[in-house]
Amino acid sequence: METFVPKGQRPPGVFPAHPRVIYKTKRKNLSHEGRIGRIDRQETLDVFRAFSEGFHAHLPRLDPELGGYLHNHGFMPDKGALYGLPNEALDSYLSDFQAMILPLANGLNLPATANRLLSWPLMRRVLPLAPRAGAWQRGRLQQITEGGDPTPGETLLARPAETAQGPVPAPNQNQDKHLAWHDRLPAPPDAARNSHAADRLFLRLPAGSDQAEVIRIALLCDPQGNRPTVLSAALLEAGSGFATTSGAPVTCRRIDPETGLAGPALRFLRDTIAAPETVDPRGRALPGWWPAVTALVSGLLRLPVWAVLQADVIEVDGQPLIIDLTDRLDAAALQVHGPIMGGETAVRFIREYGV
Amino acid sequence: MTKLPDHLAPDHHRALVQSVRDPVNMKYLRRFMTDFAKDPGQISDEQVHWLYDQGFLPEKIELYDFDTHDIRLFLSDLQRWMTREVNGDYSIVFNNKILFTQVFRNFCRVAPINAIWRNGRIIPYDDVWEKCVTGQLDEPRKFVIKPLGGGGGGNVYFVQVGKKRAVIESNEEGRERFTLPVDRMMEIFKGAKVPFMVNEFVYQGSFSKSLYPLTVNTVRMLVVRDPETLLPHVVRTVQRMGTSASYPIDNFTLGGLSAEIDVETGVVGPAVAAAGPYKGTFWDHHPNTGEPISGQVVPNWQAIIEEMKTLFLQVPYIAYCGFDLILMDDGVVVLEGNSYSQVRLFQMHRPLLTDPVYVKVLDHYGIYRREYSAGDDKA
Repeated sequence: METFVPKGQRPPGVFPAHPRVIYKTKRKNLSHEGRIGRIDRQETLDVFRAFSEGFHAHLPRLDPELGGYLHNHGFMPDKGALYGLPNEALDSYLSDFQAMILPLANGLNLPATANRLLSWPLMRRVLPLAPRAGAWQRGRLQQITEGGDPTPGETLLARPAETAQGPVPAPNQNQDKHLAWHDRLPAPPDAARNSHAADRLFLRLPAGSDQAEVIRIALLCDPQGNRPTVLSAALLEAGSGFATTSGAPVTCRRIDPETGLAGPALRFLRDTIAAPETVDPRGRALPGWWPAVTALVSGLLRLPVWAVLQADVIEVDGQPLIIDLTDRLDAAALQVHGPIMGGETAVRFIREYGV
Repeated sequence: MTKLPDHLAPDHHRALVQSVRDPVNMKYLRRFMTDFAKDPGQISDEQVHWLYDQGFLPEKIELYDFDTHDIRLFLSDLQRWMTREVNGDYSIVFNNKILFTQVFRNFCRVAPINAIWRNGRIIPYDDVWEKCVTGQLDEPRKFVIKPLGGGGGGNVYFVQVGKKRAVIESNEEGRERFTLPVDRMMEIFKGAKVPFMVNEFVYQGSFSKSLYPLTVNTVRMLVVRDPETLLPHVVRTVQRMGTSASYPIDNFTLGGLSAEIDVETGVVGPAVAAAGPYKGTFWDHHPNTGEPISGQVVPNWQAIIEEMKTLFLQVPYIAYCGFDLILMDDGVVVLEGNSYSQVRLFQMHRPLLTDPVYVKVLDHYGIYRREYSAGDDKA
């Protein structure tokens, strides 16, 4: 017997073709202030609350006029100096609050896209991901054998399982370097037993690659054509892409997605306001750019679970190797050269997903 | 430091902030978070989280006496915004001053409306405005012109109309005092974007006038309905007084004074100001006139209390109101009601949550949480 399903609802067990939540945001309502003013869903308010608490944790307090301006447009205090705010291009920047709610666009896939322990094995089938060495899960050590036998000089890279967490130092790490790979993973601390916050994913990196340049690529699912599109990209110079503390200085270049050319470098400190310093005014072509983009786009087309994705890619033996996947865009590194949300793809995305 | 009474939970402010889940209260929490960031109140780095976690804006450090009274005894800014929902749909009776007058004139004395100005034209409620602009008044009369919606005392005009000319005083910058021929009185509304109402001026009684004769000195009385007995309960009352800073009105936000009136006895306490030159001192005498404030007894106080309780019983759909009263020699005129009364003018004297009935009302309407844990949402 046919089950009656009210109009506009789907039968039980039938999932939508796409996890998209369509808000039809009007173009004129794309301002940051309007976005905060329209918060009317619990999950968005929870994110705003987390943003707000993070903002007030930033001491000493800013002057109330500037502080109120930044907070009520969704920017953390350090962005005032980093982006030169306030300025006329304010609404074209990806705000910190916006970066925190962007993962919601991944909809039903959010549990997978927000946790590396889930996303890594899922995407390994379609993307050239760095092999896993193991994981910590609720205080348990899980050995994973991927990528064959260890080779001399390999290192371990520790990533927090939850993408919402910032960079974490690897356990027993010496002087900001990565663990030497000795076929044995470090045991999780006792305190990790009752918390997901200490969950970690350990990746194997080929010898010498921990000092490689990292291409950081932000992709959005363009509603026009429904395919992943590069929003922005940056080249993080040696060391910057593997920073394990949020206070480490970053040297990066913006990459032109159309040409794969990397522009002049800027150096900044993420959590402290520092004047960017030009290290090298020249741009240069990146041989690894097109293989990286091709690998990402083709893989994401085969397994379209991400609407928002940031990938870190290094080049190993002329081939791209992905060393991180996250639904959290690194607003500072991607925007220190200028705003990234002014383009048509970004505008279409925001209007479609309401973020 | 005063001891926390038994009717209050030890961490109720944090519990409330953490428990906000419904869309209506989310709006107030969002407003709190945005207002907190831009509040110019000077607070130390340690005080940021202490106030933020409990729903208080930074300005309260300066206004409230947290050294003497535990912060948990005060109604927070978040709670005060949430009181807006207590009267539900009936809030419109207070938010729309025309409706307020039309409803409450059936039960008490109110200031009569003579006309409404809206979209560039006058809508007369009687023939008084017409007589004013055509010079047909038998004797000079005084009117108050104020915006239909919103509080805060902005853009209030006092108009003294004679046969040929009208003298206008206001708190609007650059238009403090000016005169117009009566046939050009519409120019009062020049540049106005919101509707205004024209009321007959109410001449206050001798007690109120003695405090500061240049302004109408109103009483703010906070009345709630006990959710168990459904009887009215007067929570707190203050006498407001104008000053040279707030002239020509008595508005507390603009530099007027507030003095608590003991609900039981009608005895007036010392006065404080929240802004302006008289802020930061408890005044036993009016700073401009030298008239005594502290120790004065409001005449016929018990009769006033009973009159207001009777009024509250006659509008059973109202549960929370801050009434503005003009004390006359023979009773009171109810000037307006506020469905989410400002509380600074009460709490600068002492905190509100010392009153168990008031806390019971807050609890009944979800504005007070004894405790909260994340698991409460799943239950």
